[in-house]
Parts: sequence; structure tokens; C-alpha cells
Amino acid sequence: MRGSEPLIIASKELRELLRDRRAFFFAFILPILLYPLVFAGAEKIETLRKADVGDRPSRVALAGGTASLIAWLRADPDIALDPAGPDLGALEREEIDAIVLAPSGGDGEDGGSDVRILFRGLSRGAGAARARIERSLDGFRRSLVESRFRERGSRLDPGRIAETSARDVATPAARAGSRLGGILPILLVALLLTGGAFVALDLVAGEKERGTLETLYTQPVAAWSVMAGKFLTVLTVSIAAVVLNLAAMAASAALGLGAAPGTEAFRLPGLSAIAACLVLQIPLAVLTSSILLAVSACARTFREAQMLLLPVTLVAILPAVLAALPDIQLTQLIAVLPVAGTALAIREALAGEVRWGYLLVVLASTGLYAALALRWTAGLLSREDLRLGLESEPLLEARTARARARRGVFFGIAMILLLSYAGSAAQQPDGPLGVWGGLAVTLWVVVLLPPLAYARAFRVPLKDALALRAPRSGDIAAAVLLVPLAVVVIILYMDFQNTVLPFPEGLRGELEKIFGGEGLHPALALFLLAVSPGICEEVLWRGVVQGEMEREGRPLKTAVLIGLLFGIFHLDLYRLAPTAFLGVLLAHLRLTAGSIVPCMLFHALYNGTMVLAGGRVGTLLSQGAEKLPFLQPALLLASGGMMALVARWMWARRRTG
Amino acid sequence: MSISLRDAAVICAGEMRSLLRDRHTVVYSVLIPVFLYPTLFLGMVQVVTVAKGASERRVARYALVGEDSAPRLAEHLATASIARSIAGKNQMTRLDPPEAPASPGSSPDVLLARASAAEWIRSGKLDAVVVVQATEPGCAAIEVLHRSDRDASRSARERLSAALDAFREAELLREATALGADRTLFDLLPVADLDLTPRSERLRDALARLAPLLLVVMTALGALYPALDSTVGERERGTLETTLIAPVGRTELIVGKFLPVMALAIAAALLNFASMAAALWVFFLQAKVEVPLAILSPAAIITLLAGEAILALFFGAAMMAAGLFARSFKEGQSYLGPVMLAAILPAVAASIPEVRLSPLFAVVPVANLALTLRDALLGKLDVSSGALAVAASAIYSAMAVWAASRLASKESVLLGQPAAESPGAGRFGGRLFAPFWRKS
Amino acid sequence: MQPAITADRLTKTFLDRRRGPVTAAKEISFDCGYGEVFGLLGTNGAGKTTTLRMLSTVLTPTSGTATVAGHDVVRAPLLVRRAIGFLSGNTGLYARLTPRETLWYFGRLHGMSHERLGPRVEQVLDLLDLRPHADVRCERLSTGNRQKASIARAIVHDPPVLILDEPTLGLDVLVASAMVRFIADCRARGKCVIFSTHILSEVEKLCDRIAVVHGGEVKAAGTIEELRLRTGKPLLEEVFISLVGG
Repeated sequence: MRGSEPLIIASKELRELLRDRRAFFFAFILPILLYPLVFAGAEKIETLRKADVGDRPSRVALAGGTASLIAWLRADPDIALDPAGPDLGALEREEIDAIVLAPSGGDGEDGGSDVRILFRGLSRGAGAARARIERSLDGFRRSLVESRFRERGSRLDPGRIAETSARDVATPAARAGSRLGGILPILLVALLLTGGAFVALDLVAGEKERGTLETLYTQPVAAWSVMAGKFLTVLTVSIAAVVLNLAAMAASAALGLGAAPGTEAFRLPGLSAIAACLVLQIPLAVLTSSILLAVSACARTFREAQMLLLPVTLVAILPAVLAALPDIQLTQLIAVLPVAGTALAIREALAGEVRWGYLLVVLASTGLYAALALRWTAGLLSREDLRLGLESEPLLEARTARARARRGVFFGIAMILLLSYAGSAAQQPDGPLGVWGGLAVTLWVVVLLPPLAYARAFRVPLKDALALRAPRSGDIAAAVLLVPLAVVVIILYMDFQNTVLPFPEGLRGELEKIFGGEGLHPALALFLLAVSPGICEEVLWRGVVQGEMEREGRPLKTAVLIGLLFGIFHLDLYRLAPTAFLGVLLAHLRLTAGSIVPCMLFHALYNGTMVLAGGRVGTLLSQGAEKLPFLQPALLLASGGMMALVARWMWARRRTG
Repeated sequence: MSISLRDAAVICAGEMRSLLRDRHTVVYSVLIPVFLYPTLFLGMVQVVTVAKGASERRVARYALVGEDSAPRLAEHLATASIARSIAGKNQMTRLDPPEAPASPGSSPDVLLARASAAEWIRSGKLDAVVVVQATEPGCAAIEVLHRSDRDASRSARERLSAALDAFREAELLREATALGADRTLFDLLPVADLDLTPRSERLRDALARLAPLLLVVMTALGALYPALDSTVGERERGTLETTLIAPVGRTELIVGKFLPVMALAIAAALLNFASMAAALWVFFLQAKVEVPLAILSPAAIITLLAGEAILALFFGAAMMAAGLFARSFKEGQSYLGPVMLAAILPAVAASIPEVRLSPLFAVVPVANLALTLRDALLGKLDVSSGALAVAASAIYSAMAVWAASRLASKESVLLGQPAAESPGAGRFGGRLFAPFWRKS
Repeated sequence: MQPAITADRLTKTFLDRRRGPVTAAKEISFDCGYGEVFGLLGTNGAGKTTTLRMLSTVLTPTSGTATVAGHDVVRAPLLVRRAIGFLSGNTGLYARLTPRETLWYFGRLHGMSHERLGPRVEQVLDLLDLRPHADVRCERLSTGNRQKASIARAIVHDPPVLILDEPTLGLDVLVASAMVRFIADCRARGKCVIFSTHILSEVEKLCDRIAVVHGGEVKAAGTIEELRLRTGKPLLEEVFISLVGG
């Protein structure tokens, strides 16, 4: 690849783009010109909102209350006591803002009865009325308590015995920067994607449709150069779009638009923060540009590319939304995640905190993802069928092994979706089936029946799909042996995972209840939690889906995909890694034993062990770890090592055909 | 200006068949909404759970300065910390202030703390600083210094405030006991709020605010690409001219092309909306929140459908005109940004309760429909304003269709070439409006 | 009998942003009758396509008049379109429709009734030997079959006038000669066929009369024999070159 080829291609593309002046105007200039309008509109709306509530006193109807309370409320300038008594109808018609029900007995001597404020959450004056009433009542209570203490002879002012307050010592600029840090990363990712989409879609999918892509590939230019040239174009345009948009926003903000009265003016963050943001943006832009090109390459026509773009954009923005959540911090784990790491790093930079160590990790990981994405895109662009925009083999009437494997994967994904809908519906604790009934229905109906229907519909002989072969005794023994090893490994891993990805307490309690089979007879618990998944889930994953995938003859890809899908299937981020691992292990079992029986055996035994003895094993291990600090890593290595040995042995004697 | 409906129907049928045969696009437009929303919601649920877990685990670090003024405070805070650490979450721990005091004595400490708290928290050495100052003999003012731009500081403040409230009560109780009374001396008039709005009404309000916005955006998006495809896309593929040779009037052509665009827009919007609703329902189920399905009453559904139809009428017509205005498909693509802005802003405005469907708003495109839909879903629709809004929208749609058919007669639109114009039409504006002056 | 096509000083001027007004066709005048094949001969960019487009009401003449099948192209375009079948490089087919569906579609647009259209579609498919491919999507047809499908589309309503712009462009020998036969057949049936080309052999084989177009103008019009006499050259190629001033 000559170094100049990508540049030749990129400069031609950019020139073409700039020559289409109208398109350029609508795509880049017009949105920027609209920003002042947007900001002004937002300001107007905000003003409308504030004006509506206005400064009128809240209209409150009071029932009960002592004379002194009534007098106190009446004296409050922000509260207007309605002469008519409390009337729910008036509250509904928004003639009054709130109703206060107060005890009439001697100034609340009967300590227990409380003051009730009734309101309607959707009516406009409710919020202000509540705040004002509570504030007034606070004052009344305080004066009352004060007089009572004094009556008793106290020399202290009860209101000031331990007067507590809180003060925000962050500067307004810091506060504004923090708020900005929440939305800016999302905005950046969105702008990068939408700014570059226009060009990326045209450069590949559009050219495919026009037939000019073919022309390019017949030139004496390396395919990689073509892709690099297009990539450079998309990258340039994306970054330019971001810069232009941000400049326009900054200009609008600087002109004072959008600053509704009461919000603090924003000052630019420090130089190192800006530098950090700019530096972080580059690999992010590389990543988004390569994603855009990949989408464009996958699609056969423009319209298809556009359709694909929406979900891709949303999924890409999702990690950036993480940055807006208040409780997330930039940890090592998150720094490695695509997009999320960059988003959080930008947010921290804008808050004035630039940790260069983490920045480097973010840069390196994003760069790695970008490189991988580019490589994938290059691979996509060299596929003949994609280059020529040929129609792929229909999914339903798949004939080749590859198509059947694809169909199997799609079926797996569809099952995950089905489970998320139907499973949640079935397992309602207050629903007609209850948790246990719901679980049974989920497994035996939702999980088991569709794969059988699939086999029937696509004429896959069940015997082949489910590999219902008599297993060899060696395979059975291996499956049984693997169970305790897996139990130990998983429990130790979960301990470790808990330190990195802490489990919320409430959730843990609930899950332990469910998986401990609380409230169930042990036999029933075993049936529901061990035997049923052991049969139903295996029929689906290691049975039908793996059966389809194995046709392609790529065992590694099969095992990894099945493991991944199996992990996602459980719809739980915390159990994703362990279940994925188990999924791979189970897939390996079927691949080597040529039969689904060892898988079912392992699955049932593993689940059963966890249900009956998991808690105890866990406690044993942690107790042991306290006495012997090296126990856990040693056990982990030993068990993991033995598992690897067993797996290797099984692979060596795998059944083919 | 009579239209041969038969011709329009023939064109419509041909276009629909052609569109539906684009298998990939059809499959995607169904599969994507069905898969996307559950994934998104599930993802969000997982992320929020993780965030909560992380936040609970984090230990809040605070410094206590001037404790001599409130002798029992330090112990109280320490006891509270122990209680929390047993529960394993929301813990607090006391650290020494980063800079050692110049001399033992409360006042310099406090001043130093006040001045340095912002920096201490910013640098991450502490999450909050509790400053105590004596006011009168036996009384003290306790202040929690925190930074709202630091998450750890915010949660530290919450935990400390809770502990301090308990401390205040304890001190009051102490004094009351010393006076020979008990807590009833000061524990007066607890306040309880009660929101009388039934849950179903709150949900209905949320639906009424969100649904118009969602439908507007989805319809605009769902109309744009099919419209571009059937106008400027066809021109580029060379099939537009073929149709133009047929003895059909331009208006019939536009109407025949416009109906499939409208149908697709409606289908896309409803599919997305339904899928989102289903995913939300599952999300609520998992979060164990009860959702009275009554909010989707038959009346509400009919309202949504009718509103969607009128929206699709408007956007379909507008996008067709836009598609004919574009010189190339690529240019048509570039309209996406401005279209989204034009659709989103009025819709967002309509989701704000303070914005009302006045006669003025009833003639603002997009906003009028969004407001009408919102009011209809709330059951508070002013029929005359609603009728005005619908009528105005229908008029705009008709104008757009008329504009589109004028544009379709214009040669430069058909062939992508500049045509001979009257003098002075070289300017952008002149060319823009020329088709409406000349007969074709 | 009235001529099928008359063109009287047809002119078309385009406004190019950089070069200013460009006259693609200047005072084009000719006529042709039924049962006649008329050829527009010229190099690329000579103005043939522009002329044909004006005749088929795709473009509006800047000045001058023309009638097709007795209708004025400017004042009664709809009637003109009913009477013509137009074919050019640009008039593509709908990729996702089959030839049969295409024929039905355009037949309906021409107002043909169900009873008439059914047999006519089959007849046209047979005529152009498209029956084996009648239900294959147009995007999957070979170039030759696509051209046939386009012709089928143009004649499904049996128009008295056929306007063809470079009809054999890109076709292989077999299909091109089938096309030539088809045009001759149309003439035998009393249709007026006007087509543009720069392939001289076709002109010699088919045309009763021709017009040589160059630089937007008609350099000469008449039968091939007349033009030979006029220029004094025996070979059509030489006739052309001398008329064009090469």
C-alpha cells in the first residue's frame, strides 16, 4: 500500500463533497445557523414555564388546627387561606392548590396525630404550595417548641441546640462544568455519529448503488487503501462537524441566549481540561468513523444503511449516557469500556480533574477498539457479495452450512427476546402462576417448545439436532468430574467479581432467596432449579442452536458464540461472565462427546450442587481464606487447571461425525 | 383541478409493490424496533443497578472540625458509622483534616476548614467537612460543607445530614429529659404529604406528554427516507422519467406516490411505538411496578391512531416536496438534520404542560398536532381549537402536495438540469419559487 | 394523411451556471408520417436526445412548435403521451417489478381495460420473446432482456408513434438485429417510428428518411438517396462527414 493512495482517495471524496454545495449547506451549515434559534426557543419555553406559576400566593384550604396555627398560616404572605373549607372538588378544579388537615386538639398535645397536606401532583401550583406550607409549619413548630421549653424553665433555645445546615462550597463555574460534563459526552458521540453518517453512507452504500464502487476496485489500488481513504474522509467530516456544532453552541451561549434568568453563566474550563477533551476526542472519532463505515459496508443499499444506522447510533450513545449518571466513577473497569470510558474521562476533565494515568488507559483501549473496527470494516469491504451489493441467501430457506449457522444464531437471539418478554410476564410474584409456577412455565413452555417447533418447521431431524446419542462412559465421567471443579471456580470468581462490580445488597438478598429455593420442598426445588433447566435449556442451546452452528465446522466460533448467547440469555449483568463461561464449557462438552446427554447431566448436577450446597461451599471457602490467605488463588488455579486438562483430554478423543 | 383517482390508485399500487419487495428494508424496519427497545431498556436497567451498587459500597470520608463545641457529636457520628458498616452500605468514616492545625483551639481550625474545604474535596482527600461552631452556651451550629459537582460529596452530604438530624433529635431529647419531660415535648406536628392523583392519571399524563413527541419524531423519520427514495431516488435510478412519459397528470403522480410514503410512515411509527410500549411494560414488570393497562383504553388507542394518521399526512406531503426539491439523493440525505430539528422542537414544546393549544398555536405546523394529540389523550381537548389544528394541518398537507406536483412539473427537477428561466431567476430565491409562477 | 410528427423551428435553450445560456437545439424542423421510419443521425451531444425529449413532452421547447399524432406538444401534452411510446437510455425499469407486472402497470396507466390488457400483455411478451423471463424481477435480467422489457413497456398500449433514443445502444448482435427487425415490423403495421442513432448501418437498413443533426441544428433532411445526390458522396459515412463539416 503506497502511503499516498488513501490521501488521493480522501481528497477526491472531500472535493466532491464540497462541490455539492446544496447538500453541504443543508447537512452542515443550516443546523449551525439554527442553533441560536434553538437556544432562544428553549429560553422562551423556560420563561413560559416560570411565568405560569408566577408569584401569587398559594391558595390553601385548612381544616382543623388550633387558633394559633390558623393565625400563623394566615400571617404568612405566601399562603392565602381559603375561607371555604376543604373541598376535594375545588382541589380537582384547581381552584385551590392544597388542603391542610391539622389536628384540632390542644396544640398537638396528643403527639401522635400528624398534619396532612393533600395535593394533586399534576396541578401546577402544588409543588410551590407544599414547599410553602411545610416551611410555614416548620416555623410554627419551632416557635411552639421554643415556648414550651421556656415554660419548662429551659435556658436554651431548642431551635439552636444543634442547628444543622449544609453549604455547597463548589463555585458556580465548577457546578456548571459538572452539569456540562454530564451532557457533553452524549452530545459528542451523537454529533460524531450523525455528522459522519451522511458522508459514510454515501461513500460506500451510495456508491454501491451507483455502481462506482466497482470501478474503484478495478483500479491498481490496494483494497486497504480504498478503505483508508474513505475512512479518512469520514473522520475529517465527523471532526469538522463536531467542531462546527460546538463552536455554534458556544457562540450562542456566549451571546447570552439560552441563559434563562437564574441559571449560572458558563465559563470555559481550564486549558488542561480542554486539551484532555480534544485528545480524547480523536480516538473516539476514529472509533465512530469506523463503525459508520462498517454499517455502510454491511448494507446493500442506501436505505438499508439508513435503517441500520438508527439502532447503531442508539447503542453507541448508551455508554455515553452512563456518564450522565451521578454515581458512576472512572474506574479501571470502566476506563476499558468503549465510549463509556471516554465519556467519563471527558466528564471528569470538565469537572477540573485530569488523571493522566486513566486517560492513557482510555486512549489506548479506544485506539484498540478503533483498530479492530477498522480491520473488520476492511474485511467487510473485501467480501464480494457486499461489494457488489448482492442479495444474501434468504434466511428461512437456508441451504448452505453457513446460512444454516446464521439462522441458528438468529433463532438464539430471537429466543433471548422471547424470554425477556414472556419470561418476565410469567414469573410475576403476584401473578397467577407465582414465582415457581412461572419458572416452570418459562422453562417447559417458553424455553423448550420453540426449539422443537424450529426443528419441525425447518425439517431438522430431532435426532441430529439434539444429538440424542448414547454417550460414552468416559464422557459421562468427565461431565461428572467437571461439576465440583466448576462450582469451585465459579464461586471463587464471583467473589472476585464482587470486588470489581459490587452487587447491590437488596438484589443479592432477593436472588439468594430465589436460588436457594426458599420455601420449597428440596425435591421440588431440585426439579425446578436443576433438572428443568438441565433439560430445557440444553435442548435449546446445546441442542438445536448448536446443531445448526456445528454444520459450519468452526468449533471455536461455535463454542464462543453459544457461550455468549447463553450468558446474555440469563438477562443479568452480574451473572453474564460465569454463565457465558459455563455456556462455552457445555458447548465444548457436546462438541467432543457428540452427544447432548453429558451436557444435560453436567447442567443438572451443577445447578443442583449450587442450590443445595452453594452457600455452604462459599462460606467454607471464605473461612478457609481467612486462615490461609493463599487458599483461594491456589484453589482457583488448581480447579481451573484440572478443568483445562479434562477439556483437553475430551478434545483429544472427540467423536467426529 | 380534478384528479383522476384511478390513475393515482394504479401508481400507488405499483409503488407499494415495489417498496414491499425490498425485502431487506422491510425486514429491518420490523426487526429493528422489536429488538432495539427491549435491549435498550434492559441495558439501562443493568447499568442503573450497577451504579447503585457501586454508590452504596463507597465509603463517605468526612472530617470533623470544632467538635469541642458539640462534645457528643463525634461519638454520635462514630456510632452511626458503625451501625451502617454492619449493614454494609452507605458507610461513613472520619478522617483527619489534611492540614494539621496551627495550634490546638477551635476557632483557627474552623476558619481554616471553611477556607480549605472546597479544595480538600476537589482534590479527593475528603468527601465532606463537618464544621461546628458554638453559638450560645449549650448551643452549636453544625454545617456540612460539600461540593455539588462531586458525586461522592453529594452522597456524603446525604448520609451526614441524616446522621445530623438524628443528633439534633438526641440533643433535644437530652434537654427535654433534663427538664423532666420526654420527646413529646418537641416531637410535634409531623407532616405527611399525600398526592391524591391516582396512579392511572399520573401515567396517563406521562403518556400524553411523551406520546406526541415520540410519534412526531418517528413519523418524520419514517416518512423522510421513503419520500426521498420515491422522488429523487427514482430520478437518479432513471425510473422517474419512465413514469412521466405515461399519460398521467403530475398531481396524480404525486398523490399516487404520496400514499405509500404515508402508509410506510404510519407503519414505522406504530411499530416503533408498540415495541417501545411492550418493552416498557416488561421493564415495569421486572421492576415490579404495577401498570394499570387501563391507560391504553380503546379511546386512547383510537386517538393515537387518528393523530398518527394526520401526522403522517402532514409529514408525508412535506417530505415528498422536500424530496423533489433535492437535486440529488445525497442532498436529500442532508435534509435529515434540519427535518429532525423542525420536528423535534415543536414537539418538545408541546410536551411542556404550560404550553397550551391556543388559536395561535393551532396554526403552527407540527406543534398544533402534537398539542391536539396531547390534549386529546388527557381528555381535555378543546374541540374548536382541535378542529382548527387539524384543518390547518390538512391545509398545509394539501399545500405541500400542490407544491410537490408543481415541482414535479419542473424540468430541472425531472432531469436534474437547470432549465431556461425568466431573467433574474439565477438567484437562489428565484429558482426556489419559480415553479409556482410558471405553468408547466 | 396528416403527418405523424411535425416539428417547426423547435428550439431549446438551457441555462448553464458557468457558461451562460446553452442552445441544445436550434430551429429544428422536419416531419414524418405513418408507416415511415425516420432516423435522427448525429454525433453525441448533437441535440438528438433533446429533440426527442421535446417531442415526447419531457422538455418544453423554448420556442417553436411541434405536433405528434395531431396534438400540440405544449398545449396538449397528455394527449401526446397517450399516443407515443418512448424509450431512451434514461427510461429505466422498476427494479423490483417483473416484466409482466411492469406491462400491467403501464397498461393500466394508459387507461387500458382489464379485458384488453390481459391478452395484450401476453401478446407483447410473445412478440419480444420475453415469456421465459416474464416473472423474473427486472433487476435480475440481463441487459438484452432489460432492453426488451423496456420496449415491451413502450408498446403495450399499441401507440401509433414510437420515439426511440439510441435503441440498440449496448446490445449484442443478436438482440440488436432483433430490434431492427422489430422496427421494420412496426413500419409494416403503419406506425411512425422515429429513432436517433449514430450507427450508420442501422440507418441504411431501416430508415426511409433521415435528418442529420449537428451542433443543435438540422444540417439536412430527406431520403438517403437525396442526401447522396446533394453531397455527391456514395457512402453514407462520407455523406455524413461532409454535411457535418468534418
